[in-house]
Amino acid sequence: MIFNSLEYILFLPLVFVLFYLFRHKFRVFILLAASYYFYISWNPVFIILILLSTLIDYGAGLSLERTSSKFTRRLILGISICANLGFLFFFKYFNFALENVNEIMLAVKGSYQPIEAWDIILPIGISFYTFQTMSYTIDVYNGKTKAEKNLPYFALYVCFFPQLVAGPIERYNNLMPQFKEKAQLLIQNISHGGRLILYGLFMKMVIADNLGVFVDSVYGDIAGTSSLNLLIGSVFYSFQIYCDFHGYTTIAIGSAKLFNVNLSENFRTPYLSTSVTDFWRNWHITLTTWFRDYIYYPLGGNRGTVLKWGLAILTVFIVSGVWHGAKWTFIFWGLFHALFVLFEKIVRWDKQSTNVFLKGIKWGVTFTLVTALWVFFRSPDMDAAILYFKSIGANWDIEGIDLGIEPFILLGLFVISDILTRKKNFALSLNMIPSVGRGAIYFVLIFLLLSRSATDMNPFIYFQF
Amino acid sequence: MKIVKYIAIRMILAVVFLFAMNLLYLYTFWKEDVKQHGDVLENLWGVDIHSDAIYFGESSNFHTQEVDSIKHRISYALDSLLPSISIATVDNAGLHAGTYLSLVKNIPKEMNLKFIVITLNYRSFAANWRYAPFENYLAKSALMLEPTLPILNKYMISLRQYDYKSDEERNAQMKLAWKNEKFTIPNFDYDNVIEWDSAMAWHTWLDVNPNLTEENLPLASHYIKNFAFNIDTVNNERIEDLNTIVSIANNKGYKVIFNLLGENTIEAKKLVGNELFYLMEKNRSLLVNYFTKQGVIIVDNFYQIPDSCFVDRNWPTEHYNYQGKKIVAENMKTAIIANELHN
Repeated sequence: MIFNSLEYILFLPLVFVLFYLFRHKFRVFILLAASYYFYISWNPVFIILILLSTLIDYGAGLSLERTSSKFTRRLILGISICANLGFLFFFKYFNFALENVNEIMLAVKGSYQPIEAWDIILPIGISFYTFQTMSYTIDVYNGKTKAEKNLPYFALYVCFFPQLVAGPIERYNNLMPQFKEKAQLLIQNISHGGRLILYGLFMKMVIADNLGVFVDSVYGDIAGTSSLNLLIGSVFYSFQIYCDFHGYTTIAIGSAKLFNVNLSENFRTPYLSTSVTDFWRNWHITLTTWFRDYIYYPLGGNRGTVLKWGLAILTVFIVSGVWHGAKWTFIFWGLFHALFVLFEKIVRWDKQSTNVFLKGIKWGVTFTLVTALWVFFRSPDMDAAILYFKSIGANWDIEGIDLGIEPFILLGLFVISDILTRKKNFALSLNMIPSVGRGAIYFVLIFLLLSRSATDMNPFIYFQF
Repeated sequence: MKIVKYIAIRMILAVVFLFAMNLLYLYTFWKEDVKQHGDVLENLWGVDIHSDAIYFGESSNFHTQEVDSIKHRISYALDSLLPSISIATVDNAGLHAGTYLSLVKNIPKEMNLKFIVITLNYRSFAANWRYAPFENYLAKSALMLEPTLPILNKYMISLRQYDYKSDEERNAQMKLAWKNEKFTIPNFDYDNVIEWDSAMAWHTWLDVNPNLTEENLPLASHYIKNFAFNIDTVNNERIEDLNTIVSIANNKGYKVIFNLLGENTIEAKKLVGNELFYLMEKNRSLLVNYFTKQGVIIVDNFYQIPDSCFVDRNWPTEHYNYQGKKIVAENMKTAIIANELHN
């Protein structure tokens, strides 16, 4: 079941009604059952993984609290992390590792019978819920949070359906108190949640999926595509992935709001950033802060020598690349981001400036760099990415554009709405508009959603991670 | 109570919005969307509402042979043969009972039809047509033509609320049907397409059947895949669609003519044998009896088209040269006159 499906349009109101029909103490079971059903609708077998992950971290949390022995605590943390990363490694990286071992062996030995790749299906959302549960155990270990004794509540923390498959990656301290607080049926929550769901669907189905049609055609024939189309394709992809992921997150936040749960914001107009460093403060915020708290800080952060700091930055971004997928394109994408962040620190690019012209230049450079690096992210392999860059300068044939004006108008509309909602999210921004204006905005959004949604329904891009 | 009122007001507003949006959609994007996702409906728009009949056909209606000096459609020939009535044409490649049903539902209410002609293609009952990848497009078209609000149809397409399946899934369905949909032929070793087809390919049939060569072996295989089945009147979705067409026509007061297309039975017999012909005849007879009982006029062209009239020689199709198309039109004319639908 995906958010942009009829099933979800029916599922969500049903869970909403059931949730408020029951008393508070039963609601955890309603949400838990709904979340498991939501996940089972993808692939019933992989629910076992979530249950295992839940039990391991639930047990680890309790055990950590019951012992004060440093060695035992480290052992428990180690077991929990190894188990979580073990699942992740097996399902996501095993074949990638095998492929690379084969290539190394071939290079070293010359004649070598490569080991065949295993037929492994990636369980949806594994990277997200694994990181979420790991953060809990690490926080308990560090004494930042108390262990959860109530198994159903802990299980819900691991699998809460709005954010189960692609985040936002939530911290225990943010989510659990909200689950335990008695939710009131409030008009504000329905209105707020409904607005966000509408806007999220608009971003996904009208903008991202329509841009995706052109992007797919460009990446499907890189060599045969004109330079201008390649440039348009790369800009479109920047917005496709943004609207796709931001759309997903917005629907997730809106859905959770219906149950009186505030999920974390994941995006703050990242394409208005004037540096790559700034971009990462505004893009996939819950993942970035996860890396900051659990990798960057433990590695020393910006304390210590420049070399140590540089290594910490490189590690974080390469891990971020690997987190996205088992491909060299993701690793290079992360590596280049790291290099740009390091470069910005060295030349003090990030220094605040009041000069509008300078800000404009910085914005232009940042957007260009981020867009260029998305080419690695989108390309099926490194050869395709390199071909893309090579082809951009190769064929300035204007006749090759066969696109129409509609995608540009829709994109323009989104850019305006994104800029207008940069300080408060869409739902809150609407509060500042008179009811007639709000009605007009609803009309336009729903009309575009019903009539201009792309006809080839696509799953969310981040589901593959 | 406050919440109920809040939700109720918004529900009412939503309904009003929806009708207004639908109106706006009809004036803006609808025609373009129909062209893109349900172009078959465009043909229906072009129909003269004063026509006495509509001929619904697939490629057999318009396919021509290069050497033909006359390249008329079957339906045009029929229209010329019956000057007292006007027959409109709605056709497109690959159509079948499911799409005809969507079209029949969309016949303009103001039309005062005497009859409709539905092309009945034997192969469209077979698994490889029922589960062809092209079905996605046809299912999408059918949804676009549903008699609800067009803007909702469009959104339902975006939500993929039609029978969408990937090519792999369709192929898997097809192979499963070839294996599981059994047929019975007296004194014959095989009861499903997979077994029969592989037996022909891997055994020594080339030595046994003098008409079979390495070159025409693939064609023989296509004959088995396209013609070897038993029509199941309970579960075959095409039968269900045809039944609904008949029922709609009965309600609206016009006659239904099923134009059962001619098949190259001579080549089927030559390449595969009498066993295949046995099945073809069994199904033909079933279709004729089943629908005649429902009051449908069947124009049975099954054996009427000579081998020389079939255009395609590497795939079993119902593409005839002009002579073949003329035979069909003549048979139709005879049936229409016999049933006194020409006045």
